[in-house]
Parts: sequence; C-alpha cells; structure tokens
Amino acid sequence: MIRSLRGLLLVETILASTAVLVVSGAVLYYLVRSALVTQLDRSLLDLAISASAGVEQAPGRMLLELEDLALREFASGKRAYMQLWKHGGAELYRSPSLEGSELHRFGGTRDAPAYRWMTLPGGRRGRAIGFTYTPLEEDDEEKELLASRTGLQRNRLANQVDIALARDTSEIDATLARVGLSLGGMGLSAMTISAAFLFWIIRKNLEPLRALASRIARLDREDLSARIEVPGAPLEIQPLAECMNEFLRRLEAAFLRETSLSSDVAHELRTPLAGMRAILDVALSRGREPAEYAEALGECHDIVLQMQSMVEKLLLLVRVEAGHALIEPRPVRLSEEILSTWKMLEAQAGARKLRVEWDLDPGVEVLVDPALLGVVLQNVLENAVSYTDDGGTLKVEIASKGHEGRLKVRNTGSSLSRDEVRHAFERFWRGDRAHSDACVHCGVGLVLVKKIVEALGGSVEARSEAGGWFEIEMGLPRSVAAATRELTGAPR
Amino acid sequence: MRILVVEDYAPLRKALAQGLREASFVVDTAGDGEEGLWYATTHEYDAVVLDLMLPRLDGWTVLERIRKAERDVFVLILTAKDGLGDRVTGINSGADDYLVKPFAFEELLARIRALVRRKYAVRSPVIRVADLEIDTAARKVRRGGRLLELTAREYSLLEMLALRQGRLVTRTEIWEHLYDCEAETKSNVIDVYVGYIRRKIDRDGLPRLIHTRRGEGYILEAPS
Repeated sequence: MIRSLRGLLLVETILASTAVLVVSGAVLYYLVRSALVTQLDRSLLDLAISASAGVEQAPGRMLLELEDLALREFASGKRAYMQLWKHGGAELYRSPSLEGSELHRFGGTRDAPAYRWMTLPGGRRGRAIGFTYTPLEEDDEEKELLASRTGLQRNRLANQVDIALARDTSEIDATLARVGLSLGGMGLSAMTISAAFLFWIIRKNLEPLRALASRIARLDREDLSARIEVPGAPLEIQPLAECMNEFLRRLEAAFLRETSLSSDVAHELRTPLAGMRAILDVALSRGREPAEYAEALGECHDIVLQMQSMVEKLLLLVRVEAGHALIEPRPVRLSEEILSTWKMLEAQAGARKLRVEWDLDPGVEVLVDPALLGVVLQNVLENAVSYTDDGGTLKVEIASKGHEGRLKVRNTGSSLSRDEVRHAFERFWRGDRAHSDACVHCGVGLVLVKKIVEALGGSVEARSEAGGWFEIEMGLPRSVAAATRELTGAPR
Repeated sequence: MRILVVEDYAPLRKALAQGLREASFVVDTAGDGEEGLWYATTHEYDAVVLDLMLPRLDGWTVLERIRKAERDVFVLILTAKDGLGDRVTGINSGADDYLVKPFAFEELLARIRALVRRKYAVRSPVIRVADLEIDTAARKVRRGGRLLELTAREYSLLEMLALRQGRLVTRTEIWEHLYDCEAETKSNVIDVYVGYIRRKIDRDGLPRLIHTRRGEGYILEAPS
C-alpha cells in the first residue's frame, strides 16, 4: 500500500499514461493492419480479375487461356495460388504453385467477392479471394461490340466458374510484426522517459508541501510564537500555511492568557501571603507588648479576609466560566437587594465622605438567582466605592426598559480613558494600578460581574465620560409577572 | 545603614519597614515606582528593596533608571513571580539579588546585610579594626575580647564607620545613612553619638580608634 502522495501521483499518472499509450498503440496497429489488408485484398482482386479474363466459354465447354499469367504468377514456387472450378462442378484449373494441394471454394460474386484467411500449402498463412462468375463467350468481344452497336440482345451462355485465388501474407505479417515491435518499443521508451519526467515534476511540485510539512514538524512545542512561511508556495498550499498560522496565533494567545492568568493568580496570592509572613516574622522576632501583637494579628486578619474574598471570587469565576454555577432564578426586587448590599459599604463610603445619589424605581423586579445577583451588586458597588475620589459622588439608578431591568452605577474620580475602559472586564486589570494596595482583589471583581451577568441572561457595559465619570450599566431579565402586571395595568 | 523599601502592598511595606528598623536599619518607604525612583536618586542608600509590579512605574524601569543615574546602590528585587526567566532577567538587568514572595524576613535581612558587605567590599561578617571586632551578623561589638553594650543607634554609627575604616566619613554622610527622611536635622546629634561610642570603645587608656577631623568628620582606624 503506497501512502505517500508522491508515490500515488507517480503510480497513478504512469498507469494512466500507459493506458493511453496502449490504446493509441492498438488503434495505430489496427489502422496499419487494415490498410495493409485492404491493399492485399485489392491486389488479390486485381489478379483474380485478370485471371478470370483467361477463361472463356463456348457452348458446351470452357476455354482456358492462362499460360502467360500462370507463368508469371502461379508458377511452381511462386507465392500466389489459384484454382478454378465449373460452378458446383469439376475442377478446371489448378496453379502449379499449389503443387497438388487444394484451395477451398467459397462464395461471393465478382462485384462482391469474399475474402478469407486460410492456411496455405506448406502451412503458411495466406489470404484468399473467392467468387463465382460467368466467363465471357468465345469471341465475346466482337459480339459485345456488335450488340452495343445494334442494340440487339445477344444470346448469352450462362455457365459459371468458381475462382479461388490466394496469396501468401508473410510480407504483411512481417511488416505488421515490425510495426508492432516499433510501437511497443516506442511506447516503452516513452513510458520510461515520461516516468522519469513525472518523477522529477511531481517531486519538484510537491516540494512546497514537503517544506511545509517539515516546517510544521520543526515547530517547537515551547515556542508558539513561530510562524510558518513557505516562500514561493503554490496557491493551494498558501491557505494551509495561513490556517496553520492562524491556529498558532490563537493557540499562542490562549497560552499567553493562561500563562498570564496563572502568573496573575500567583501574584495576587503571593503578595498578601508575603505581607502576612513578613508581619508574622517581624512580630515573632522579639518579645513585644500585647498591643503590638494585637496590631499584627489585626493586620493578618484583614489580609486573610482579603485573600478569602479573592479566592472565593476566583472559584466562583472558574465555576461560572465552566458553566458549573448553580443558577436558580426567581423574581427579585432590585432596589431591595441594592439597599441591603449597600449596608455593608455604607460605613466605608461615609468614612471617605462620598456623596451618594439614589434613583431607585422600587417596582423593578428581575428574574435572577438572588445569591449571584448579590455577588454582582457587591462587586459593582464595592468597585464604585473604592474608585470614587474622596468626597466624590456616586450615583445608583434603576429603571425598567422593555424586557429588562436596568442598573446604572456611576462614580466620579475615574482617570480612565475610553480606551482603557475596554479593559475593565479583563482579569486582574486594575484601573490606574495606583489603587492596587487599597484593593488587592478588585482585579477579579468586574470580570466576575460580567461573567455572572451573562450567565444570568443579561449584559453589562462600562463607560468612561468627561468629568471623571465612570459608569457601569447592566441589563437583567425582568420577571414575567412584573412585566405582565405592567401591561395589564394591574396594581403592583 | 539606610535602606529604601519600594513596595505597593501596604501591609508588606509596613512590616518590612518595621522589621528593618528593629534590625537597626534606617528605612524609607515608597508605595509606587515614581516615588521609589525619586527617593533612590535623591538620597544615599546602602540597599534598595524593590518590588517589580508597581503602580505608575514598574520595578524594571525603576531599576533601569537607578542604574542609568549611576547611583552606588545595591538593589534587591522582590517579586511574586518565580520563573527562572524572571530571575535571570532580574540579575541581567542589574539587580544584585532576587527574592521570591513570600519569603522569610530573616532571609531578607541576611541578604540585605550581604549586599551591604559587598558594597563596602567586606567579605566576612566580622569587621576588625585593631583589636576591635564588629560582628555584623550577631550585631555584637568586642574590644580586646570584651563585649561592649551599644544601643541600636550607636551600633549603626559604629558599623558605618567600620565599613568605611581608614576613610574620612563626613557628618553629612553619617546623617544620610543614619536618619530617614522624616528625621529633623539636629546639628550636633552626630557628635553626641560619636562621643557616646568613643567613651565605650576608647576607654581605660586603650589606643584611640575613632579620630576627629575638626570641621570635616571622623575616621575609624587602627593607630599607626
């Protein structure tokens, strides 16, 4: 079983061209042969006609005048043979060349003589012509002439003669054998030459494919930045290389994402761990007052809470991304959820003297999983509180719009450009990074918000506006009951 | 010895500063790259502890600019990344040492002390001036085999003079190495401290090791 493309192409093109050569050789051979046979038949006919003219009939008998012809053509040892019979009766003549053996009588008329292959005396192959005709009467020519002049119907004798005349075909056979041999030889050498050419051509044209394959084989497992280039590759190969490169690009991007994710996770976890260890190492390095220990423990406690929160967010993120989060939607009043989440942040906002403006439509009811909504609201509000400048403003707005309940959280103090806002939902991306110490875990928060909101069937966007306003707007599916009540005008 | 700590994570920064101060280092701290660079290029430090992932200006850039400014300072990189590639890049970029977070505070201390010894071309942790022995690892001082009790500030001053033994050390230099940026200048405080350690070291008629160059500074050296 040949498995290489080159081998298959070579074998199949050679087979196909052999078939073409064999068929055309056969056709050529047949044409030559039939030309030769036609020529032979014509010479047989010519000879038979001239021989037939050597027979005349007179009432009651046949006159043979074949001496000259016989001497010339049918002498003993010549390769032409003739035998004449009275039609259906006795032999009239047998050529000396037959040397006692016989030809066969067979049918046909002078206008449509019969030809057949036969074995000649001495076992050679030959071709014979045979027909039955009516010899002219003696002095027929004169009568013929007279008849044509007078228009009188002449009296005709109707005795017929069968003639069989054969010739040796060894010349034709030899010629045909030569033709066959030359055709075969030519075919064989043509095959050999074309096979060599084909081998070279296929090899040359498949080279880019081989180059591509070896380029792919050389791709380093570690180095995904490599790209495949096959200079001068034919049109059919280019898309292959392009597909492969596109694939490599995607693979590299995914790999980089994963690498940066793990290094980001490492950073996010190691940094607080390093802080905690340093605090503990320093605290334990000497004897201290209880107040100093209490301070160190308090700091460690804060760090542990931060880490716990981040680990939980990361786990939830992984679960939501993998579609493993348990989602049990039920109708939830958005304003109530927001206010209960806000209670946890109120002190922090108060300490930083933030001005908070509320515009909450109490009727907005959304159909979401309450626990996940809680995570979303906590992250969005926490993010807003930590990023608002001291004494800045924070606005929270909810309204219903179509099939959605919409929540807008806006805060001042953002220095993000429109371009930078696009990164807001990327993992571990933190605004201007200056806040990183204030908010170790917020690099995960907004990504988590986006993933959860999408899992809840909603959508979320971030915007940056003039005046340092940063806005997060999300749409959540409204509960059917609320929407129906509104449509029918029933009281809420 | 004066150390600069550039670290954006406040709890770690605070703990490092406290630990280093308790180990008698003079410590300045910076919470972002720009501030860190400003401190490193405008003050004299024996070592800089530099985090890599910093807001405003990352650690690599800070390191590069410190090197460009040709400050004679040893830099120890702190990082949360542990790839071999990062270590090699770190050392190749001109970092003198490298520590992966989280680390034992003792190790940081030992590495900083080693950097300081390297800076002053001292191999052994024990510095000798005549019969005066200063064990920088144990922070113990002996004269003629007798253990001397020094306060942290006194020890730091003595260690600083010992690392520069045989060289004139100006008051400004001493000030730069013994006081952080928040200290207020008290013109005679250095002289007072030198007086304290002189009283402890050069007493009982032993040959004087600390010499005053009036109006210039001090030299710690063996009597010729």
